[in-house]
Amino acid sequence: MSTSSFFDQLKERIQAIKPISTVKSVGHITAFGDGIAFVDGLDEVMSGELVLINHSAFALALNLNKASVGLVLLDPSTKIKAGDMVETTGRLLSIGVSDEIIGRVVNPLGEVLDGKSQISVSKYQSLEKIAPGVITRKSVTVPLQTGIKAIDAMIPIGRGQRELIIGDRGTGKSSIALGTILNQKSENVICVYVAIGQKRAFLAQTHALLEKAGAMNYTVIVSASASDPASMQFLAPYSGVSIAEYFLEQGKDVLVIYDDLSKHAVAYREISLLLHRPSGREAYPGDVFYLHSRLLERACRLNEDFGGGSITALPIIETQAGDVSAYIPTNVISITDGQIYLEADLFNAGTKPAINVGLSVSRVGSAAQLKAMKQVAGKMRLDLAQYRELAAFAQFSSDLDPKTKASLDRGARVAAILNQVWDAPLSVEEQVVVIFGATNGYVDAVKVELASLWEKSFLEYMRLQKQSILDSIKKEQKITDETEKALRLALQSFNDLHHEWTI
Amino acid sequence: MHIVVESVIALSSNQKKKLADLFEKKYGSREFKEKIEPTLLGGIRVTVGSTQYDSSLFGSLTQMRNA
Repeated sequence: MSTSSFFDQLKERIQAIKPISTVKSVGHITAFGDGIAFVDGLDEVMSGELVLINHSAFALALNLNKASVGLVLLDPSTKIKAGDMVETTGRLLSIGVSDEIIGRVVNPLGEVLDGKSQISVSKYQSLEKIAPGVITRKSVTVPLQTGIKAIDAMIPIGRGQRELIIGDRGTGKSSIALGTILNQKSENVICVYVAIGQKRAFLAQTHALLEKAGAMNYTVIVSASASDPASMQFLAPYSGVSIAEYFLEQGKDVLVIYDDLSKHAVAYREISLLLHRPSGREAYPGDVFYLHSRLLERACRLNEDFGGGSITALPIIETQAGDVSAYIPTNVISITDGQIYLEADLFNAGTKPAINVGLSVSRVGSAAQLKAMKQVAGKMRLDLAQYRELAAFAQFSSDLDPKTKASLDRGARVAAILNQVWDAPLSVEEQVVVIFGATNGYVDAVKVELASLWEKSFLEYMRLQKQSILDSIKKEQKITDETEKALRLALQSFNDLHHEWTI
Repeated sequence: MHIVVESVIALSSNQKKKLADLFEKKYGSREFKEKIEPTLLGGIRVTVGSTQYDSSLFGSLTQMRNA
């Protein structure tokens, strides 16, 4: 392009802009500190409006008091002093999204954190939005496969559901969430991982892990780490769901993981206390329930008239000393459609994932389960329930009647089969054949400690030699009589190959 | 009603009269404060209470920068 035509184009573009006289509300900072500013004036400001301080720094107007306005700064590093001029922008907080955002790491305002190029914007999604109404929704019937046997069999999650992952620190909550992301590779689900208040080292690790597994091709990471201001940590989940809504509007299925909402509530408490809002139980502000309910209500499944897409939410809550009756955990439990309880005792005893199947529930349940899985899961739940009841008698194993002993043996093997490494998700047909084997007695003869080895080798055997059975289950989505016969033959012949594992 | 008019150079008496008439009609008061603000580069900026009407060149350039 020659220089003269470049200048001509520039002149044209400048002349095309017709600046108009603007009207805005202005005010001056009266008090400032800790990321919060109090301002006088700003008479026409809207609640939650973006305001500009000194033509340079953005802030959010959260407190509209009679004689002052409380602002939360979005960028802590800007040099502000008392007396600085503040003006309204007429805009509510929004994030710029386009298809390019997939595979990127962004902060809650859409700024890139992974050092690559800026994301071009095709649409601005408002961070605060009213959740889709009742008429636009459809009931949850399509499963969201986590790849984890214990969850897909007994606490099935559907697309559009909200399922809480709750437990103490170090019990494997983030691992379940990441394992679910890894399993969405061939499921046509876009994943959004929102990291709230996490260590940056953990985020870097997670990002590298997802890159290595190829999961970044369908995942977006939104991060407000521990050293980011409370305002960013407060906004991060809303940014995550706004990005998800961009894809929802295209009719796609999205999975959003909030890791974790406990830190989110703490960040909101910090902002509220600094803004002098009245505090309630545990010093949380009165609207901490609304904070999470308006976030989680945006997870939905839309009917065909509105695109047919869905947003599934997996919020994570960290409990202290297993206390699920604390304030924030009970709040979020009452909002979500079920919870997955992770217990430290189970984790230490070697059950990984440390899911307490008795206390975990999915309120959508088998409505979102493949018929094949339904066929095998019911029996497994029964076996495990009986095992749990009799578990106290396990130490007397030599003095028990044969029936009780059989229940205990079967239960121990089914429980051992449910153990799974977090980064090795299984497809639903693989899960079905393994659970079928365990609940129909094909593992009873194997030593309990070798049950995992049995499972691993059996799956290898099926993938190499009996792929047709797996394919048939995948295609028919249930176990036909023919498939069942073939499966039983396969299990028997596999067991015949490995007599060294029997008791 | 606290009214402040910012301009780059001092207003002429004719301009001051026009403004006073306008303010009396709209807000019922002829009183306003004048302020010389070189950063405006041109035009005027009127602040009434907490509402600001910006017809300055600086405001137009800011709009262009953000477009």
